[in-house]
Amino acid sequence: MSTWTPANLTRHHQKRITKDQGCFEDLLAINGRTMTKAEYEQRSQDAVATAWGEYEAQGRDVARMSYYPKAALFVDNELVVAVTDLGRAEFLTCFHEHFDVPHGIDPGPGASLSQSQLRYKQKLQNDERCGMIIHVRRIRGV
Amino acid sequence: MSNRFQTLRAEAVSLQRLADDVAGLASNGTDWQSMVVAPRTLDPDQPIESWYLAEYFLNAWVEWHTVLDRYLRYFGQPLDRIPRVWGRLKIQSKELAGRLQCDPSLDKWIARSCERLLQPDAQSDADVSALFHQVINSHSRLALVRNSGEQREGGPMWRSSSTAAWGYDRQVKQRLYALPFNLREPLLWHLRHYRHAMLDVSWLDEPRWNEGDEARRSAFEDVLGRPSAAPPWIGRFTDDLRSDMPSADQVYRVLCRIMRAIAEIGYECFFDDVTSNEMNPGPDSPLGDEAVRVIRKDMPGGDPALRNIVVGVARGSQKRAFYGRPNVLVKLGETLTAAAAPMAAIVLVDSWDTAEFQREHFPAFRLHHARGHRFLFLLVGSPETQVAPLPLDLGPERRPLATATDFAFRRSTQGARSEAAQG
Repeated sequence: MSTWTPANLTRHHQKRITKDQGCFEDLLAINGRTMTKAEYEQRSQDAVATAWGEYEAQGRDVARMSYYPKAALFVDNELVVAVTDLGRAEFLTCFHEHFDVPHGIDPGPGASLSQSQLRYKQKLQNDERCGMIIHVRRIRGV
Repeated sequence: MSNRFQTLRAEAVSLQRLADDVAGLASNGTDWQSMVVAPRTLDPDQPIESWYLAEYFLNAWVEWHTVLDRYLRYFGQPLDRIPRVWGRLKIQSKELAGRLQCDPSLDKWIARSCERLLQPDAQSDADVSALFHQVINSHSRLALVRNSGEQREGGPMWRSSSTAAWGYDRQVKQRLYALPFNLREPLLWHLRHYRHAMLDVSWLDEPRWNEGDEARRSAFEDVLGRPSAAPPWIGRFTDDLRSDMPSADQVYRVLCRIMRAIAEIGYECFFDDVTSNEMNPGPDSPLGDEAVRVIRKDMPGGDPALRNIVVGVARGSQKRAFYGRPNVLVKLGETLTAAAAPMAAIVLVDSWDTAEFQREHFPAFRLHHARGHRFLFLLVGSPETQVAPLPLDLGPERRPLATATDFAFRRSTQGARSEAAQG
């Protein structure tokens, strides 16, 4: 089972509750408070456990104009994406894919799982086309 | 089999499955809100919104057939390269797309999916990845509505989708204009790669890329810009060539195309394409003419006598690598030695070592020049869309400032003077 290092968990949890405020709270049906670190950790582990999509790839570090080391990516029904190292031992990040528009817009509210899956595959295809990810190895679902 | 052909083949398989799943939907009175199963594309137990499946099919169809058509022209591939089953898929999908694009209620559903993306108060968050996806998303939506216009002689059938797609595109353009200058090049790098993946180069679609009306240019076309004019040094080089070579006009065409290709897709992608075993240089290729012979691992077939322009492309400077600069220069020398008639040689390098060239290649290239071959060395700069000629003079050796005879004359004069003085 993949685990977080404490420092990385703190960093990514902080990012999720500030930059993506309300996003994970909506997924976890949390009202009136922010998601705790333990809830974020649990949600990332659920993403790996229930993923329909799994692949390996090298993502682009846009600021440095280079690529990160190859990682494993897991996508679940709510399009929560958990990224681990290639050995699946350590979490690198975990985020909700909402296609670069505010949470809840794309796909729209009540969209079927199939629509979300096709939308994700389309994004993956475009990411490959533009060099946002390279050396993609599809394992299942994508 | 190349990666690009394999990609087209994999996409053809997906498209065929989609077409089979969508076929039942393309009839009058389809309730686009209804949920359907798409057993050939998705898990048979997982229903999907009809309108989304139709839109997904249309996008896949437009992308696949557009890239396939461009692929054949860009790589100079014969029509019979296409498997027969693809021909049937084209006919089936075109007919299906035509029927879907006649349905005004589907138009409304697709327009609605685009309108959701419109956020009047949205500000650019200076995120290259986000902006890239928005540009591409908008470009794909416009490709779909433009295609729907092509299907009908009377203009776009999908008025609602067209209005929504252009509205979204205007929003994306505003975000592009607000992008900080330092993020522009990273964004352009990704867009160039996408353009290359889709083979969306300007010379394959001149009217669209040269569109004068700003309002009819998509954000994607706007940020990548119109095709640039040929650099003036090409004209100067080919003018000098005119007295030596009857193929000077061909060389001009080839150089203009190479410069345009590198400006649009970057040297990295240009290099990959022209060294690929599926590249047959032709008028629509990034080499611009069938008279071009590229130095590559598997030397292209055809009668070498008909090819009077040789192009060498180098990546890096490793001596052992086939495409390392030293080896490309050696291979170029071998090609010229074997050539029956004078050739024009264009050499593209992404690094240069003056001392090494002077030491290891200069004498041989000077001999080739004396035999009538002519050269242009081009150095790729930064970003990789920039190319400039290297200052090299391979012509006859200039008369030195002082020759042995001059020296002897001066000595004898000096000697005579001193003798006179002594006398």
